[in-house]
Amino acid sequence: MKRKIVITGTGIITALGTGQKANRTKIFAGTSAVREITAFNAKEYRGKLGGEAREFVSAELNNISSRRLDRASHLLIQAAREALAEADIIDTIKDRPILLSLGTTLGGMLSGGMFHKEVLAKGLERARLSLLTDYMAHCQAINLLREFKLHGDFRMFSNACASGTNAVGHAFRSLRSGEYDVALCGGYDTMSEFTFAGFNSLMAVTPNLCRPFDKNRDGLVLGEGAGILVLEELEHAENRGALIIGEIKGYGESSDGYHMTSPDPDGRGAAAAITRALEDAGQQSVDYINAHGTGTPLNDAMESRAIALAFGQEAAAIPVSSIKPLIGHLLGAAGAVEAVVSLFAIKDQMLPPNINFETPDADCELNIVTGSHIKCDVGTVLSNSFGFGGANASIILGKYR
Amino acid sequence: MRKFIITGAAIVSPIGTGTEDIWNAIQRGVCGIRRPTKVAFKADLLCGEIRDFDLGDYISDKRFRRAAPISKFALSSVALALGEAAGSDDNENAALVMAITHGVLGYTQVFHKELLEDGPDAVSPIYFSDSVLNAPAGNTSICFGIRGPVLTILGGPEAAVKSMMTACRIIADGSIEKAIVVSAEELNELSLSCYRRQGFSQLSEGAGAIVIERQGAVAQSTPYCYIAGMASECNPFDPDAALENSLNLCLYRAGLRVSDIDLVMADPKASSDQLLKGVPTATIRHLTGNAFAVSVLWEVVLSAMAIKKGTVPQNVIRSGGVPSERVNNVLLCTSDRLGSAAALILSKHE
Repeated sequence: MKRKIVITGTGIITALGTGQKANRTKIFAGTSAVREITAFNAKEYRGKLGGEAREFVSAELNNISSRRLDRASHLLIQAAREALAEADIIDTIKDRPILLSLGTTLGGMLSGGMFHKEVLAKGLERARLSLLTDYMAHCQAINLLREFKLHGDFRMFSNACASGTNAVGHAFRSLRSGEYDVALCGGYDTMSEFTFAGFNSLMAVTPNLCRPFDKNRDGLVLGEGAGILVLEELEHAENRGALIIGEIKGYGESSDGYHMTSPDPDGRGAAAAITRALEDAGQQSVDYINAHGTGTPLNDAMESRAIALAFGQEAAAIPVSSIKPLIGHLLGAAGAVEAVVSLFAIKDQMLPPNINFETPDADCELNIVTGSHIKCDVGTVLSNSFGFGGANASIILGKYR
Repeated sequence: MRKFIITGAAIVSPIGTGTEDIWNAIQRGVCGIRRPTKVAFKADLLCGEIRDFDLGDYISDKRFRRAAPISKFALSSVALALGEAAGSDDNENAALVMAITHGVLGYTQVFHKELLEDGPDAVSPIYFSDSVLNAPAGNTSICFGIRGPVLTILGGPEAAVKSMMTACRIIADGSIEKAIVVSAEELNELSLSCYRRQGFSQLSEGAGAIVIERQGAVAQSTPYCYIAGMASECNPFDPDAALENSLNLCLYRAGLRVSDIDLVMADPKASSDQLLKGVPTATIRHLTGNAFAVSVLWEVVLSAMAIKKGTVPQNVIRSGGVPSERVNNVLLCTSDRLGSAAALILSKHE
């Protein structure tokens, strides 16, 4: 019999704020934190908006120095601090190995960018090597272990925008197979001009509002943040009297094998990930779909086809929404943050709205959640993540009964 | 325990490409560490640079001719490894796990330089899409029609073993019968300069790939070996403990003792001397240079070949001499100062 894997803690940082409290109310109210970008001069770009975590400056650090830490480490550590505190698990895992499973697309790219700027200004030999201390992504994982005095093992996934879901899915599978009893998992990414310029060059950034699944959608807005979950094997959680927030029921992953930046328009690869997650969970449907929903014409049409392929006739009835117009596309953090928001939906029995949706699109025949504070009996949620390279990942979260 | 068999392997390295060519190059003592030619460097510097490489020798698909060198190395190594595995060409139900340490350095640098010097309108979207960390894996999955899980795992040298562990986990989950594990790196002036300034020399580039199949699904009549055990650990407070625990867990999972190990393939910094005392040790890095996770995968391929052939070339031995008995069990281990360690045992497939 498969081991049950439950969630006992979550942490979240987005443009809406730091922590569950700051995010939860605003998400259900449909409050957008997308504003003009301040991290760099965005005036020359097609789009000028982003979901920056402006209120977040640095993480509370007790065991490592903040000197030379990339903003990525700060976001990651602060979100982990909230998740660990909610799970009240630090004393339990101090002396036993845990799995840390993380996703990111950029790692310490801000530090790398600063180093390269110095190279261009001063030459190769004079740029400060100290800027690279926290450049590589696995350094952020090790920073987290050091800050919380943990050990065990880590996996660092970089699968573009599917990274966060891949990381949670890997942790889920590792716990279910018995390799570990406890995992800390999720994703993080920062707002970087490098990435913004890249998406801008692909004409993927909207000059207007991000409006997933709307007929007039014309692109995404980028964001930054982190989402972290504490996963535990059920018996382990029960034995220590942990408060169980929810359960991970199934996970599926696949690849399009189609194109580096465009999804397979048939949605076959994405549908395979959804179907595998449903089979893994042993169920045929869900109560709500937290869509990848980037707001780009190609992604949303593809995702709609994938949902139709996976759920058949029932697809039109399942409530679907994307939270990206509220906080931006968090890239490697997206799947993890959206998993945390899916748990909000399960706990509060409420659906996050897909704001800015005005005109239905025949290519996206879904039951889009448009209003705020919509009450719903949410027992299970499917959260989708799709990324460059044709990376597809889907996870099913459920109410723990 | 379910057996995972290595049925195909390939190396793209500064001393050659393929498997038999590499074996012969090692036997001849070919060293690929030379002065770089692709980047202008005033300082006296040696590295393991791949020269005279043409993707067209391995892949006829023209879509990837402008891909970054790291993607080209990955593509060619996977083409060769799949060719050796001799299974079906249909990769619809295959998985790909890629280990990366630095990723696409050249295109990232070009894109960022264009952005800083010429502004957003001057940048090329191709440099961007090919500079993301999963671009080599994405290109490889597109080229070979791989539609199972395709994952990129970041890390130091241990990322290669972690990628193999992840690939075997995916196979064990039941829906996938074949997984390709690949690792690739490319050199550029930034990496060469940074590592030289830190006192680290002989950086290298290239790719390694293996094909892992579930026992019972193997079409290859003479596979290399099977994966007997794997383990990894990270302990930033006690790197030695991380290595020792990885080794002990790996041996336990393989059902072997240290005395059963015929050869240890280890990076020179892995402080495993106490536990593995008396076992001959080998490495390929003095011939190829160090390409982090790629080097570990090169050594996985070399170990697999040693098991298949029953012996190991003298030129890779660094202590203990060439094993006098047939090589049946090879232990690979790696560790770094950040506390990450991993171990792997490959054994003869009967």
